[in-house]
Amino acid sequence: MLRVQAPETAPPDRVHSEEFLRLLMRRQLRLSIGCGVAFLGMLLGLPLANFFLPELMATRVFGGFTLTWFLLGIGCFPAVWVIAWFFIRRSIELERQEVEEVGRGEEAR
Amino acid sequence: MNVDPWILGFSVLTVVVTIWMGFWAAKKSRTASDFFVAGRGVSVGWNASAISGEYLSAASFMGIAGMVMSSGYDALWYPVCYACGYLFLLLFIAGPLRRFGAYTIPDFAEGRYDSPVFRRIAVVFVLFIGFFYTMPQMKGAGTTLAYVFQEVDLRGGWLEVFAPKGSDGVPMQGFPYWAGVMIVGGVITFNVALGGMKGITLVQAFQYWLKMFAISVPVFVLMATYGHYGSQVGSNSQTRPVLAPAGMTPSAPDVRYAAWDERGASRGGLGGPDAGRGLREIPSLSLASAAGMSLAPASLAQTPVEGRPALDWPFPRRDESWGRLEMGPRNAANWRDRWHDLWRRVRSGWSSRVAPVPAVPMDALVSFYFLDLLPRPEKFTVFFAPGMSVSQTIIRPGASSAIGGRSGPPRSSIPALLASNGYTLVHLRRDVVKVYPTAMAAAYANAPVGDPRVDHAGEVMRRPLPTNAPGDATWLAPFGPLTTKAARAAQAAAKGTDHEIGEATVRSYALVYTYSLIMALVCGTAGLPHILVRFYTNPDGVAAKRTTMWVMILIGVFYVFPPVFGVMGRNLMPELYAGAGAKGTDKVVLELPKVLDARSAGAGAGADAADRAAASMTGEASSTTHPPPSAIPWGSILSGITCAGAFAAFMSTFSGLLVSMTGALAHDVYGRILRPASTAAERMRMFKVFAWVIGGVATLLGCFVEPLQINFMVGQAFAIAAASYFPLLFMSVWWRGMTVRGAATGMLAGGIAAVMAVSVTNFSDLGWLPLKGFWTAHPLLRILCEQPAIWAVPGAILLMIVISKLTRREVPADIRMKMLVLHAPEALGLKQEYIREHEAGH
Repeated sequence: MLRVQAPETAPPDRVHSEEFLRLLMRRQLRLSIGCGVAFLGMLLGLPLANFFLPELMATRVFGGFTLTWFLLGIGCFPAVWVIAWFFIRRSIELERQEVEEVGRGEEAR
Repeated sequence: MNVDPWILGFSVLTVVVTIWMGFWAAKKSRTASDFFVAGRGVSVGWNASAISGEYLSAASFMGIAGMVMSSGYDALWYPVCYACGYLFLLLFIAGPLRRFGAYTIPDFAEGRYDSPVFRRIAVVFVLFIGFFYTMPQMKGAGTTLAYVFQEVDLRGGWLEVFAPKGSDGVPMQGFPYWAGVMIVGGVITFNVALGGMKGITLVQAFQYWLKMFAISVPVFVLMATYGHYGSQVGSNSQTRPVLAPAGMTPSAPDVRYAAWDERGASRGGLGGPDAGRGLREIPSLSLASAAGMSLAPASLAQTPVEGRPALDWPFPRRDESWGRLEMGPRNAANWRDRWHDLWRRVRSGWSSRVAPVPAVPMDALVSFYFLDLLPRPEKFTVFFAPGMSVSQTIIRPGASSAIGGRSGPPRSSIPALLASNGYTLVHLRRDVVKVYPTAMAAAYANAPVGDPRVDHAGEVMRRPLPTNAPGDATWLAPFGPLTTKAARAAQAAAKGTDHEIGEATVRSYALVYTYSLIMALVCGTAGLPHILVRFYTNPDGVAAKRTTMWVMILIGVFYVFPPVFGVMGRNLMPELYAGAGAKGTDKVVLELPKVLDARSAGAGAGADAADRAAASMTGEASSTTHPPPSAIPWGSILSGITCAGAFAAFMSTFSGLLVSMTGALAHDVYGRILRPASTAAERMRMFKVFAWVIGGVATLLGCFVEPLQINFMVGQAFAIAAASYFPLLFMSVWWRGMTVRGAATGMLAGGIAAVMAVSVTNFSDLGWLPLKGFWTAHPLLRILCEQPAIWAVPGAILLMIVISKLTRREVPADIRMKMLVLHAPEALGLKQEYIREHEAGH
C-alpha cells in the first residue's frame, strides 16, 4: 500500500486515487445522512409524539383537523419538498466542485 | 342492461385512448434503446409527469381512500411514505445507480459483482415483488368493473351461475368480481403481448394528468358542497352536537371578565339605567353593524311548524336561509374595543342608580358566549334560525342573578338566559353555535344526524354509521383499528384470564406496527422493479435531479387528495362499511361523487325525493336513486371521471409491471439461462409467450384476493422489496466490503423471510390457514408477520455484513474503480473509461 502523499504535491492521477474516492464518498454520505436525519426525524418522531403526547397531537387546528392529522396528511409533503430541494441544490453544487477540483489537479499536472 | 352511460362512457374512453396511445407511441419508438431513452428529447416537465404517472398505481388512486375510510388516521402513513420513499431513494440510491448505468436491479447486481449467477438470483425477486404488486392492481380492476356494471342482472338465465353470490349463497344482482379481473387482465396482457403499452414517456405523462384531474376535481366539487377537508375530519368528534345546557360545564371564575373589570369595564349588568336608552344605544354599537353580518329576512318569521301537522317536520328546509354572524380575528380588536367602549358608557350611565332589568340584543349576547370560550380572538360563527331578525331581538332575562350581577353574563349563564326567552343555543363545534326557537331545538336534538331533509347550515352532513364501522375516537386518533387490530383481538380473548393485556401494551404494539409500516414503505420504494429505470430518461445528472424535484412535487400534491375521499366517504357514504370485498370501502373513490345526484334529487323534487333520500340513508336503495331527468347528473359525470382515473391507474401499473416481469423472464431466464444461443426473433416470440404466462398467473392470483384491501397488498409488495432489493442496493452503493456471497445471502434470506411472513398472513386472512387462534395468542407475532420490514430489513443488512466479512477475499478486485463510477460526477466520464477497461480485460 502506498503512503498517502502530501496534499500540495498533486498525485499523478487524482481521480483514481484512494484519497479522492474517500473524499467523494464521505462528502456525499454526509450530505445524504444530514438530509436523511432531518427526514427520518420528522417521520419517526411523529409516532413518538402520538405515543407520548396524545392530548397535544389531538388539538384541533384549521377548522377541525387534529394537529397530528394535519401534520401527516398535509404538512409532511412541503417538508419533504424542502429537504429534497436542499439536497438537490447541494448535491449539484458538490458535483460541480468535484469536477472543478479534478480540473485544477489536471492543470497543475 | 341498466348501466350509467356517463360512467361507462368515460371508462371505455379511457381504455380506448390508453391502448391507442400505447400503440401509436410504440410505433414511433421501435427499439429497446428508444424505449429506455425516450426521455432524452423530452423536457423536465414531461419526464417528471411520466415518472409520476408510472408511480401512481391503483393503491394510490383507490386504495388509500378506501383504507383511510376503513381505518382512519393510521392509513395516512401510506400516502406520506409513498411520497417519502421517493425522497429516501433520491438521498441514498438514485444518484449512484444512475452513474453506474444499470437500468434494472439485476443489471446492477451483475455489474457490481461481475457475477451473471447473481443476476439470475436477483431476477427472482422481480417476479415475487411483481406478483405481489399486480394482485392489488387486479383487485382495483375487479372492483371498478363491478362498480361500473353494478346494475347488471345475471339472474334468471343461463348466466345465473356467474352471478355474484351473497354471504348466504343466493345469487345477487351485479357483476362478478372475478370476471372484471379476467377482462382487464386479458385485455392488458393481450396488449402487452402485441407490443403496445410500453413505458413510453408521453403515455405515462398523459396518465399522470388524467389521474390528477380525476382525483382533484371531484374533491373540490364535493368540498364546495359538503364542507372542506378540515371540517369533514373535525366532524368525527363527539359526533352529535349536544344541546348547550347539558354539554356546558359551568365555568369557574371568569378570568377574562375579571380582566375586563380591571380595565374599567362595567360594574353591573348589561344595558343602561333605563331600557329605552339601552335599546337606542346598543343597536348602534351592536356586532351586527361591526361585523357586517347578514341576517335572515323577517318575512320568514313564522314558527316553522305552522301549516303542518305537529312534529311532522319542524325544520327549516334548504331553501330557507340562516342568519349568520361571523367574527374573525381581523376585526377582533375592533370588536373588543367597541365592547370596552360600550361598558364604559353603560357604567357612567347608571352607576348611581339601581339597575333595572337589562336588555341585550341577542347577537351581542351570543358573542359574549365566545368571549371566554375561545382562548384568544378567533373566528366564530353563530347561525340564527330563519325568521329570527336578530339585532332587534332583545333578551329580557327575568331574574337578574342570571346575568351574573356585576360584570356581564358569564358564559355558562348565556344558554339559560336564552332559554328563559324561548331560545335554545346548540353548540355545534368549538367555534360554531346555532340559535333556534326552543320548540325547533328540541326536535333538532332528536333528528338523526345528517338527515338530508334538514338544512345543516354550519354543520358537516353525516349519515349514521353502521355498527361495524370504527368509532369516531378510534378512527380519528393514531393507533386505531389498522395498527391495533391484532392486539385488540388478543386483549378481548385474554379478558378475565390471568394475563390480561393492558392499554399500554396495545399502544406499544401499535407503535411497533407503525414503525414497521414506515420502514417497509420508505425502504421499499427503492426496490420496486419499475421505478429505478426512470432515472435514466434524462440527458444528464442535473436534469435528472431537477426532474426528481418535480416528481416529488407532483406526487406530493396528488397524495393530499385520496385521504379526503376517505374522510368524506365516512361521513356521506357509510353504507360502504357494510360491504365486503369489491363492494367495500375500496370503491369509495368511484362511488362517492354519486352523492351529488342524490342531493340534487332530494332538493329538487320535494317530499317524494326527500323520502327517497331518506330511504337511501339506510343503504339499501342508494344505487337506485336517480336524479330527475332534467338535471345535469353531475354526480354521474364526476363518478365517471374517477372511474377513468382508476382505469388509468391500474392499467398503467399492471402493464408496466407486466413488461418488467416478462422482460426479466425473456431476457434473463430464457435468453441467458435456457437458450443462450437463441436469436432475437426467438426471444421476441418467447416474450409474447411469457407475457401470456405472467399475465395469466397475475390474473388468476388477482381473482383470489377480493377480501384483501388494495393498499394492504401494495404495502406487502413494498415490504418484500424493502427486505430484498433495498439492502442489496444500499449496501452495494455505500460499502465496498460487500462480496457477492454476502449480497446474495442477505437478499435471499431477507426477501424470502418477508415473502413467507406476508404469505402466511394472507393465507390466514383468506381462510386457507387456520391460524386465528394462534394470532390471538401471539399478537406481536401477527404484527411482525403482517409487517415484516422491522426485522427483515435490519436482518438482511446484518447478514450481508457478516457473510461479507467472512468471505472478504472475494471482494471484486476493481472495487475502487466500481466505487468511483458509483460516486464520481458523471462529467468526469469514468463510466466510459470503466467500460473500455472492462472490455479490454475480457
